[in-house]
Amino acid sequence: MSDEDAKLVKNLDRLLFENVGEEPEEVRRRLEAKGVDVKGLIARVKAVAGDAYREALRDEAAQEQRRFKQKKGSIFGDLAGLGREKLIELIRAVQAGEYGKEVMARCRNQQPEKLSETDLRTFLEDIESTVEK
Amino acid sequence: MATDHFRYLQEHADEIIPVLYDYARNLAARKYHWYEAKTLPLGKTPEDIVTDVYVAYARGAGSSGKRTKGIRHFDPDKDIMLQLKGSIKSAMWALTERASTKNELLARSEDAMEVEFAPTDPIPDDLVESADFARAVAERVRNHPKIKKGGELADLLALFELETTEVADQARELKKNEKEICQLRYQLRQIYSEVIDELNRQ
Repeated sequence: MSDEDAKLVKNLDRLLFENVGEEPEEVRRRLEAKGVDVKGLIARVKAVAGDAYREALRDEAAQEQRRFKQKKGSIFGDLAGLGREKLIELIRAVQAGEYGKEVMARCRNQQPEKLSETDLRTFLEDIESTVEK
Repeated sequence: MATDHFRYLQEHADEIIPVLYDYARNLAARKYHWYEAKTLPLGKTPEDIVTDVYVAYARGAGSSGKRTKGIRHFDPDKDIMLQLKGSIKSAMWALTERASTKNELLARSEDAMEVEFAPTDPIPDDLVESADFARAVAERVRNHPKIKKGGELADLLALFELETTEVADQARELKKNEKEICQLRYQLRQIYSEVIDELNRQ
């Protein structure tokens, strides 16, 4: 390959891969002139990417659920069998620092008496799911 | 932020996908002698490559943090199109790697290439080709009817031969405005693209 050929091909490669001054609409027209179904192409790529995105979100949610289940009961034990009074007692104990500073911080401004039994249980489960043991 | 990037990709798909596809086609033609009706290694097409890249970023937006096989995350400090083009280049490189690597090494090489970004330079500076191919390309471009008849396109090609490649410099040399030069460059690019396509088909 002569130097001239090599230089020319290198410079034409730069031209080929640049989009200087060319609007996406012009690129689209150029592709359509070559017989490319650009509209179909965009629809196909978007659809597959959208599916992949939703699948990733589902996977992420499933992983989160698994983490949640793994942590459930890790700090407070089985909450399902506890009544409202016991749950309030538990939160008071947390606020007193019996379960460590990190958990205590999460309960600092909580007024457990104002919560329903379900909300109390959910609150404690939520703490378990986010606190590193 | 990742979700914002994905939303951007989807909302601007009409502008982004044709540009990426054009880039993928050009890269495939130049690097892998691809042409319509022929496939890339492992039976892939430029459309598959664009789809794979889009999907990798979609997965990245839908998952938090970790860099995993088949998942890509945007670097917020870099231009999105440059990253997408870099990923196209990387995906094509990986295709040939996978096609040429022994089965035992396949999974390992796949993992490695999925995790790492290729350089984001959109211009392939590592095009390896035979001397014969380059000579044939140069000759065909020089002898193309639209160049042979002289005029502005021939003048523009002469500037490329002289390594005057910037639009502003070419405008000054040819005493034209930059928009006119861009139009001529599109035509020259079209000629170059046709020549590559013809040679790939032979």
